[in-house]
Amino acid sequence: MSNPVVGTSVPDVRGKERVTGTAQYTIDLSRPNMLVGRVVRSTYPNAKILSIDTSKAESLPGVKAVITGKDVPEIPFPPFLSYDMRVLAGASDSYVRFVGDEVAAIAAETEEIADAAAKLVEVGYQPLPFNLDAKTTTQPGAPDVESSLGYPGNVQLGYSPLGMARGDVDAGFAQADVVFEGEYQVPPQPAASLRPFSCLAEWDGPNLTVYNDSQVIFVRQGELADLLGIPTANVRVVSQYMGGGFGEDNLYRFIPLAAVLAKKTSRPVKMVMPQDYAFEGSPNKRHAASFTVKLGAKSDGTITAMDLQATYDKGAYLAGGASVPYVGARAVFNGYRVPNMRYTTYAVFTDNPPAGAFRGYGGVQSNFAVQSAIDDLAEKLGMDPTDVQYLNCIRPDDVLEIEGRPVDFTQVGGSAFMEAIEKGKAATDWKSRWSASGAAGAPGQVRTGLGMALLTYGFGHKPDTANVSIYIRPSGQVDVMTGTADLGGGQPTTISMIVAEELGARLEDVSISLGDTNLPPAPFLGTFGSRTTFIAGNAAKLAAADARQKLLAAAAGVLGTTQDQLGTSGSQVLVNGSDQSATFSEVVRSLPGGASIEGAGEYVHTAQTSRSGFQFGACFAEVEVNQWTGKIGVKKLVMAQDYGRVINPRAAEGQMQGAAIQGLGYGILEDYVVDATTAQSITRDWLYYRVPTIMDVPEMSSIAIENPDPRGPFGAKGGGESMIICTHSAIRNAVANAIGVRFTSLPITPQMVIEALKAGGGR
Amino acid sequence: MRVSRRGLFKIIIGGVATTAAGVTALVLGTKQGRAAFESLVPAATPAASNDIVMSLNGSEVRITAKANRTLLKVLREDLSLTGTKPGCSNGECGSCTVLLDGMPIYSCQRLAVEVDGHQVTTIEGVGSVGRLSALQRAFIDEGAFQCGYCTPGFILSATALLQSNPNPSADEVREGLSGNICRCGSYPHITNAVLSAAKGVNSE
Repeated sequence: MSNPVVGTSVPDVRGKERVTGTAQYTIDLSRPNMLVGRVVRSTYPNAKILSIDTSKAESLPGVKAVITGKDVPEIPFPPFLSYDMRVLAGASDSYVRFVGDEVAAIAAETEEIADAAAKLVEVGYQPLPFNLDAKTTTQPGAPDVESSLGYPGNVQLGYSPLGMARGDVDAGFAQADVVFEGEYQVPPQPAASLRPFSCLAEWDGPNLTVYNDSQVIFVRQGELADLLGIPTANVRVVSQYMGGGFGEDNLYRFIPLAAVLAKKTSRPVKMVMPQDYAFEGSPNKRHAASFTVKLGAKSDGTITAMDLQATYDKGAYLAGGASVPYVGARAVFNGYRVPNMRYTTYAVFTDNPPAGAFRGYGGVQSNFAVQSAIDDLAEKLGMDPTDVQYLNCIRPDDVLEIEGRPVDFTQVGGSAFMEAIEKGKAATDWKSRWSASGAAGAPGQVRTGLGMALLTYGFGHKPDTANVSIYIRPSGQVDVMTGTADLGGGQPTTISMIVAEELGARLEDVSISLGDTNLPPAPFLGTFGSRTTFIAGNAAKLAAADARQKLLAAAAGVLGTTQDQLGTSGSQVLVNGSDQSATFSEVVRSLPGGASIEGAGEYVHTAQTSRSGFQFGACFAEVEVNQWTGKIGVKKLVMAQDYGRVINPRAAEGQMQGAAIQGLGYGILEDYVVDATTAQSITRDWLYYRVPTIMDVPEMSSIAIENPDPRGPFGAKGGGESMIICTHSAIRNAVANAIGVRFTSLPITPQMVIEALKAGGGR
Repeated sequence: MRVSRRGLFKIIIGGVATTAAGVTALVLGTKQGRAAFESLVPAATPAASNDIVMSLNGSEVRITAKANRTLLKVLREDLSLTGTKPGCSNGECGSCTVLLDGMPIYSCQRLAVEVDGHQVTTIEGVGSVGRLSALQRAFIDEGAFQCGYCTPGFILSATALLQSNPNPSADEVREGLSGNICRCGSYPHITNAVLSAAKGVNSE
């Protein structure tokens, strides 16, 4: 029965709302009688609070509530990831630990009054020494960043060092003909989404509803219940349209603050954070990290040993947990068939804002170190880097020990590295254009270079559960209910397509409700880690199969035949080998009492499978470097990525392009600068923190590789994050190829190019 | 020399910085610059309300607004037209773009009193869910957005571009949209959508 929905480019099912401005983002919501919330934040990176005087703010007409640490429950935050933050400073823990640490919150009649009141809150600080440098924070005598929080030496105990190993690294180096050692570092990267962060909290008797831009609504629901000491059933969290959604929402303390203010004032409170929160103080940046990499190789390019040490800057709190450095390690281990590997990570504390989740979670950092080092090794060996990569990358039929467990890659859709390298080379004409001293291209002062990098990533990397419910209504409409959030990655469309395909329904008959804790949890942990297509998609497919089974049972009666003679297509039940049919509507209407047909699907993503969601790909970059101005022009990016099976080709292309563009920003544009004397960011808007505009976008070629993962819905894998993991590395390697300068930090700015060439770094 | 709208904006504020004698730090794009600016002018007095008449999406609208109230706030908060999205509120990102007499402007950078007697078009005036413009249709068909937050601003900028240049090249599309930021990076599909809408309109 042919009913092709999966594999065709389908417009976003919520597209009309987005293009007409009728999509309601959190910032668009308002309520009669609503108050405006504001947060008072620390201006010091490390200080003891001596006093907080809210009396002037409280006496300002129009101010309805001012809360400090003594007014909020002193329970650890965030419960989801770690437990070392608290909702507001003050009370028993009277320290602020980064610029932007929350100290007080206000609810007032208008924005203007709330802003004026925020300035009237008088906080007496005793400034303490601070350290913004992850490299020195663990040295003897460095300031105690955590100021009594319990991380002696500013290193995360219990987790650190934390790493992975296989084989015997020393023996591996003993076999090597060439040993390469390098040091690399990457800066923080704010997600810098455009929508101001906001939430709306309202109480109805004992029940709290919070509207926010959240990828993790079920976790937030539990978090708010714990914090407020009320049953989870009394908390509803709604996240309809995210406006961004690159991982940045999981540590926001302004949300419980809004709930407390709303309770205290008995009025809805809409909390809106200032625009610079996207850059300064918000715990949503990619971790800065530094690496030492040691590679040993045979003269033919076979890598015999890899030894890496990584230091990730957690900022002032563990907050986002140890998992970012851990994922960074995995994003190397999952890539190479090297028999002897060791990866040691340290999570260290500084007085920077806590780092959190940002697309590519941990892997973006380690990718830069390893992909740069392998490129540098290839140069040392006098080899084409694509040959070194091809030789050492995981092959489709490899069985490798990963995280102490053998992984048979034939069981997870193989490895697409070799195919990605071949396709990338073909698309860049690599064989005829690449040479060790640059690529054929523009003559003179402008040098052309080709570079590439591989990526690997584990999608849906934690045990998780997804539930999807389906109702086929008497009208024939198929309602899909699932709690996943709509980040903009095409989640509602993908799930609707999977349901339509499995059920044999027309896509236009499928209607999806999502982003609400009143709906079945899917994925329970949240919409992150490129998991929705795989985890929620599997649940959707199971639910559709269940509904289809019941539909056929009912249709057999209507059509006077047996179930095994029936199929579905185009929202109709068809009898095999006959022109007899009944619409879904006719079948459902035949049921007594106006019932709908229900289907339920639960997919449990176990620990066993959680380590086995593997994403593979490669990015190839062509750059032109102007040796006079230092300007790097990215001319072309070729992205080759294994989606297992592409559900919606245009949406998949959009994810590849968007991720690569963010990676391009990290590589050469996005320069986050903090004043070392004040710890204040001086790049706290979109003018000074330069994210890519349409003028920065090169020619792009997106190649979707399809090696079905037998466990995925229709063979699909997760892949929304992938291309951001390696694009910056590919650009760095292309710059090295163009001018012979092997940069070890990002972003590669014109100034860095000119200085390196002046210092004789070029060829 | 080609100057993108974003580049031009930088040049303009750079100009302010150098012509404001003695206030070299006066770059309005920064918080420090703002503070310096605010220290030079008396605190904005909550000025008397001003009567404003504008043609908004084809209908005459009368409002009263204080002199320091931006067009963005009037549209969203007083007129409940939330299709115009606040982004940086600093003239950098373009998500609040509307048309003023057919020209794309950042509504966060216009005072409401400035539009008295003028025509303003917001996304609500471009089309509706039941009646999409050709450009809106093309944005959906080409997948020219991800989260969609910047989309109304892009559609307004593109609408103005196609009005002044119905048959743009890809480079002209990019230049015309260089004042809008899309953090999701939907730019290639946005370019496709504008080119496809132009082609569709021209072939009608």
